[in-house]
Amino acid sequence: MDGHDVVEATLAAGATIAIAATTSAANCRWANNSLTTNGVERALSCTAIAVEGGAVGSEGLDVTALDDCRRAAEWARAAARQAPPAADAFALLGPADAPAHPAPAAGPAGAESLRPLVDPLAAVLERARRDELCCFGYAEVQAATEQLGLTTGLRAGGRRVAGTVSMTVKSKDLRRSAWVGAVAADLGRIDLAGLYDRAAARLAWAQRQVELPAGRYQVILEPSATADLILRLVWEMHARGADEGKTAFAGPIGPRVGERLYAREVSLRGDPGADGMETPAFVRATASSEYSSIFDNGLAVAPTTWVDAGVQQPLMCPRAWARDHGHPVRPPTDNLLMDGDGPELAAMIESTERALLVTSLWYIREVDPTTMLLTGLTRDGVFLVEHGEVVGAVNNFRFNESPMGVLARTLEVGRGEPTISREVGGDVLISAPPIRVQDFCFSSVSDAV
Amino acid sequence: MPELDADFMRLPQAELAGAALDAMRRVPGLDYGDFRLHRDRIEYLHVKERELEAHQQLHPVGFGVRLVVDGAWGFAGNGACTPEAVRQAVREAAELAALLRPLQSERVELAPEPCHRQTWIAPALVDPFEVPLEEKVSFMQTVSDRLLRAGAEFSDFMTEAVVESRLFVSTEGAEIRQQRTRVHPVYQAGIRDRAGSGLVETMRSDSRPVGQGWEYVRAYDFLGEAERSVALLQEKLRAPSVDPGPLDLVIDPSNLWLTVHESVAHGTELDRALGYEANFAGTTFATPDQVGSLRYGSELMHVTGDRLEPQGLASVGFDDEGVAAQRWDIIRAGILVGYQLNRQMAHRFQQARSNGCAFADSWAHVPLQRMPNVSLQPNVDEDVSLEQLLAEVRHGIYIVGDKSWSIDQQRYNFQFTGQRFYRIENGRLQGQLRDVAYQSRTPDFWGRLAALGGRSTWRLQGAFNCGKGQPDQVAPVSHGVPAALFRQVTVLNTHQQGR
Repeated sequence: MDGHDVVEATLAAGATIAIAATTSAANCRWANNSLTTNGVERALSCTAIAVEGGAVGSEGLDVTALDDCRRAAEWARAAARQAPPAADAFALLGPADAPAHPAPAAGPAGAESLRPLVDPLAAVLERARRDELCCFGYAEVQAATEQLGLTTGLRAGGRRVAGTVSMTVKSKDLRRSAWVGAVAADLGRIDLAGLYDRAAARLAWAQRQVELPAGRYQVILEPSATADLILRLVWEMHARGADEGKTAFAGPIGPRVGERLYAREVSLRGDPGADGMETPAFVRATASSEYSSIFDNGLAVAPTTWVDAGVQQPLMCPRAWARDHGHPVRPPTDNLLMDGDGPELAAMIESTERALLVTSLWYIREVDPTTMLLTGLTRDGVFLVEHGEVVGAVNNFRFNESPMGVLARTLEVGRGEPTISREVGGDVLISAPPIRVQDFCFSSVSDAV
Repeated sequence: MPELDADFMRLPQAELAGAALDAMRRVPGLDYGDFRLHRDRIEYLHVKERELEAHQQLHPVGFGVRLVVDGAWGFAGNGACTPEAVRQAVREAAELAALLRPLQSERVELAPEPCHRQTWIAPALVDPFEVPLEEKVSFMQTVSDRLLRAGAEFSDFMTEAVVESRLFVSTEGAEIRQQRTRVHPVYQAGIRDRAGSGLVETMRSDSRPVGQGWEYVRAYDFLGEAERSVALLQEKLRAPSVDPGPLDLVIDPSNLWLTVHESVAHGTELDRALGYEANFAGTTFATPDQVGSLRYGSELMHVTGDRLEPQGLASVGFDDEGVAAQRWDIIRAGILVGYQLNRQMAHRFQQARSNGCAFADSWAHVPLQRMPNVSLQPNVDEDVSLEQLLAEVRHGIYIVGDKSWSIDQQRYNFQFTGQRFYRIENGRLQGQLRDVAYQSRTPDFWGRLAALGGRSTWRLQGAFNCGKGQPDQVAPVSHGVPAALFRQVTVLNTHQQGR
């Protein structure tokens, strides 16, 4: 039994739309130079969506046998019969609307997927013990194949595979701390020794500690820190929020599309076919939201530009909202790419007179949606750069900043690279560059190390 | 009294558990093994303005097996509930333990626990899944209609309902079945701020997530609150922006629970203190060497942990390691005296027994040390009212409801906003303020606790979605909190911060 069988069985049982996901993952975690937890998981899940008289029912469950698909379809139909008509009802897509090339299924991730990690990680932990450092971290490989079918005959399939490693290295007295992270389709391609070297070099920078007060500073955000900010920016890029005046994309006469909201160096896009960062190239919606409609299942997702040379491009918009409000249809993309062909981070440091180098951001939360003001903290690596070199580690800070403002005050964009958001991890595939930003607002000092 | 979910009971429990225990006994070097079978029912409903925006039901079902083999953990979970899948998972968990054992420098040892063989069901009067969808949607539309007629331009009414059923068996002989029910209904009203930004300002209902059935939704006065919410929102739009600086704060339980959650409850998780979360959720300044001496805050602080509080979101009969629910002190007279433990942590911390804080959010995940209900106890000497607390303030702010929250990875520096802020002048409320956030450092903030409300101000608040761990897990948790007075806390103006 596979995802294809689940889709066909669910449709045969009376569902209008069926989504199957075959997922597997393997992970391990370590702290204080020793393994703590691990796990493997496998699932085949089914979402049955019934559309009856314009009303919708959506039921998701884990599948043991194909009879589960029948139950899901029956429950979905019963829910649809009780529900009022959906506001976003729209004609379902047909076979001609499917993306051209369904991707092959992803191979499963299991205990064996972690084998390439064992020797390199053992060597890293041994080096940490020898260096009198403490290593903490997490490694994970995820594989997912999604299949979609509609009673109209549309069929689509796609996959997503990601291996991620993140590592925090601390001095024995826990007064110095550095974080590094990496993502690749294959865990074996991540250079654990190289990651450890990078973290250890940062701890060496931190031999000198500099205390700085809160205030506005020029900063160089490393790719992970950039990723966390652009991710939150893109989460707000939906046409409905702007039309309703609920987000910072609302303007006096409609969404701020076509406006130069960011520095000219800033471009953002998504691309389901991006090399090494492939994601399914069609909409899978188990419930309607401001991002996508259940009626848009199967809609092809093309490479999409969200920001072009600092200019805001059309926002995410499902078909029904686009029809009713005069916008282009723009389905969400599952990965996020901030282009950058500028200098490497090392070159950016060398060309810096004075700035703070920020490794990663943490606990980012929205304070005011109308200005997109976020609060959060720096974590595991803030360094003072003076006259082209790092001269010491600086205390952590709380920031109050808007990603819109940050990207408007961006002075330089470095070389883009695959990276992971510190908070979201490998769940969203992101490529981001280091960026130089002026007047970044740190509102208070954090004692955390 | 509810019964165990019929679909959960229809799963071949004896066959699956038997296959797991049998396969575990064949694993060479097995020290310990457990098997958890989960079946959850989850429903999300969203009525936007008067339309049904989304309705989704999920029925995750699956199992997880956890082994200690030659002192090393191995875990495997599978969504296919067949004996073959169980046997394969046991094999894979054992393989994982063997593969990764070279990376482990310390043997896993578990604190002992009496062997329990019981069924426990949390009280819930009305099963949310027995209430017809038409009734739920129609009620939500009626409340939305009331909000819109009262002057709201936007309304979003969301409900989430969960019934969680579990079987736990272990090689030690435990056999536990339990079930919990929880609901979270909440609306948000929005009005355009035409005199200001031109964008939408919002206000949420005061309803809270609870360990109850649909009876909570039926009993809560959403219709009565709807008109009040819109009137309060209209007042908020006209309110002056706050002058930042140090101010006395009277904080309502509807806001203070989240500060307790972030600065106290997470700060007293032993796995954080031991560095298990250093790469993700973070550590804590409350380290084990300071138990009995660390001044967390004012002598008024008495904080307890429990998994017993009626209607508590973290209340259970037994945790996910088969440990019976308990209640204990975490902070007494402002001093750190205890932690949250699981069986492995309890052994490392040289405790005779775990206090029952293991939880896995899904069959697919390994149980972690997770938060129990962590509660700030009220003034037990006198039932001090909210009005009495306000009367102690010459110039300050009364804060109601939670909104934005953030805290650093060692649980020091935090910042919170709220739903409503009232100016206090000479002990009396003088209308709302806007753009308020309070920012502090945990021991400083709790050191500024000057007075606690009595039992009549104490309320159980909480959340469904407390995050921790890699892979990320979410847990429901409650916090009982009284109203409280804090002196001279830093207040920011968020509008100025955003410029």
